[in-house]
Amino acid sequence: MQVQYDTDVPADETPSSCPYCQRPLGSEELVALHKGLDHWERLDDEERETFYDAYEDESEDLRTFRLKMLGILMLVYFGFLFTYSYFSANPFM
Amino acid sequence: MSDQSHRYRRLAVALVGTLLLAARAAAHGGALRASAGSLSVPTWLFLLTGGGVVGASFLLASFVTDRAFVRSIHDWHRTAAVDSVLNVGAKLTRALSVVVLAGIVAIGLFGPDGPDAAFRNAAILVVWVGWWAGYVATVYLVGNSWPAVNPWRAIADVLPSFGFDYPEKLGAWPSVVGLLALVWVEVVSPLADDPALLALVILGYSAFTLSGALLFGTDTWFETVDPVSRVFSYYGRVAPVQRTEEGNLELRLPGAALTEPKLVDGADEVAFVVALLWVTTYDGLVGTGAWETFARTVVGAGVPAVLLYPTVLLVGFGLFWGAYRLAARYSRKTAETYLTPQAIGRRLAPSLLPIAAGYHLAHFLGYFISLSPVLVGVLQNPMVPPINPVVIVLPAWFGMLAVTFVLVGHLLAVWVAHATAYDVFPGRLQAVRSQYPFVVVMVLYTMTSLWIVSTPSGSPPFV
Repeated sequence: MQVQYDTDVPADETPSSCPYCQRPLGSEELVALHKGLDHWERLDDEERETFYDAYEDESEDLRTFRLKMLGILMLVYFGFLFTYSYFSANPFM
Repeated sequence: MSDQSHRYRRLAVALVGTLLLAARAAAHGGALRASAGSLSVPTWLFLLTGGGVVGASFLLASFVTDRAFVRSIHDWHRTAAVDSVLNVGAKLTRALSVVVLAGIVAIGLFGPDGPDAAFRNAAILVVWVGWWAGYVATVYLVGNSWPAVNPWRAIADVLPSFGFDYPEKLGAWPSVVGLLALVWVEVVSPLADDPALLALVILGYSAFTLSGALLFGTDTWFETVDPVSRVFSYYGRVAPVQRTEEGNLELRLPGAALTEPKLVDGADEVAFVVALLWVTTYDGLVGTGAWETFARTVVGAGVPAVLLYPTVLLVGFGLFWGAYRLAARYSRKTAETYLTPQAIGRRLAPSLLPIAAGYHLAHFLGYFISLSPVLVGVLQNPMVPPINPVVIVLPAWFGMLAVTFVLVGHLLAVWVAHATAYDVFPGRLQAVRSQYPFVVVMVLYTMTSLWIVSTPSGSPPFV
């Protein structure tokens, strides 16, 4: 399904854009991903290969990102745990 | 799906469970209104925990990075070919609802009146307990049956229409104004105590609605202008049962229909979704003790009481709408996209609907359960209702349920926003980053909502 989005490009930028729907995107990787997701039927083998590579690369980045998120989650969790242990009444006192 | 992502998902479930338990333990005794129990932890910590649950659920959603998995959840559906059955059924329910509407108005005008009318007059009980608390909940929990029930539409269908062209420029704005106006009337006038007044307001709304349908045609009026129908059509999108283009029924996962691209189309519809969220909050806000203190102080300082409620209604709506637009503007930066903030705002607006639904349920389920035997008793003999109606007394843990509904609404909203962002942005990391500003707004809003449902109640002064 194709959705047309309203876009707005600042005057001093010339972004890469999709050759099929002219949607401006921030980088070549995003164009490759966008083509693979929204125009899959129209791509030749080479372009599909490019999409797979971009998706793989992105998965690498995501792995690092997930680790950071996990770190923040641990902080939130233990932050709450210690805060609660400080503020709740101890039933054994 | 690799083993690794399964592991992540199990981890996610375990963490959410832990956080929810922590939040529920915190809500110990924080009952919804009336039974003002004391929290076992300071209020700020309770509110922070609620915000923490929403923030953590966003962190967990960002672990779900498999596009195919997200899509499969939202595409899952089962269709039942029942269009002919539905059409016959709709004729019956519409005829019936016109009779019910006439009955409500008649009992409102000529039925039992007096100081205890709120518990003895069938008009008040049917409208507030039956319709606004009970029926609305079925719309977002099951599906939107309002088009088949709407008595005004049934009447308008048999009336002629002048077929004037509706000015396209106006879009959904009249319904935004209508929604705010209806809530203002509901807050400042004793509609839940005075049956005759309630009947008159219904008559006024009927006259307005029917003349609108007469001028512009039934479909235009009820699909564009009528605020009540629009509330139901948006609430209905949260529900698992959806109506397809062909008129069949389709079963989907709750909230799955909210990621569709054309659901909210234009700034006017975004404003309506935000208004829906705001009026639900406003309705709760004016019932708190803190509001009572605030209102008395402000009026004591010389502000006319009659201006206080509409001003706060409009200012609050402005604040909510401004916050949402600001989040959309920042989202363009964090996601490093060329989409306009308006385009981002339009796509993500439906994710606010589960929050409104969760909040409505938190607010009205207890009310519905405790007064439903009164409703049944009164309906058995509307003109001579029982003198001492039975009211169900809710157990102490019911307040925790209310808190849970608020949180579940927020969790569903976080998920819907995540899935929508995956649909909009080609980069998965970009999609997660587009959510940062919205999550900040959601966390703040959760804390506000939890404060409203857990703070001691008051009665709105000067109304």
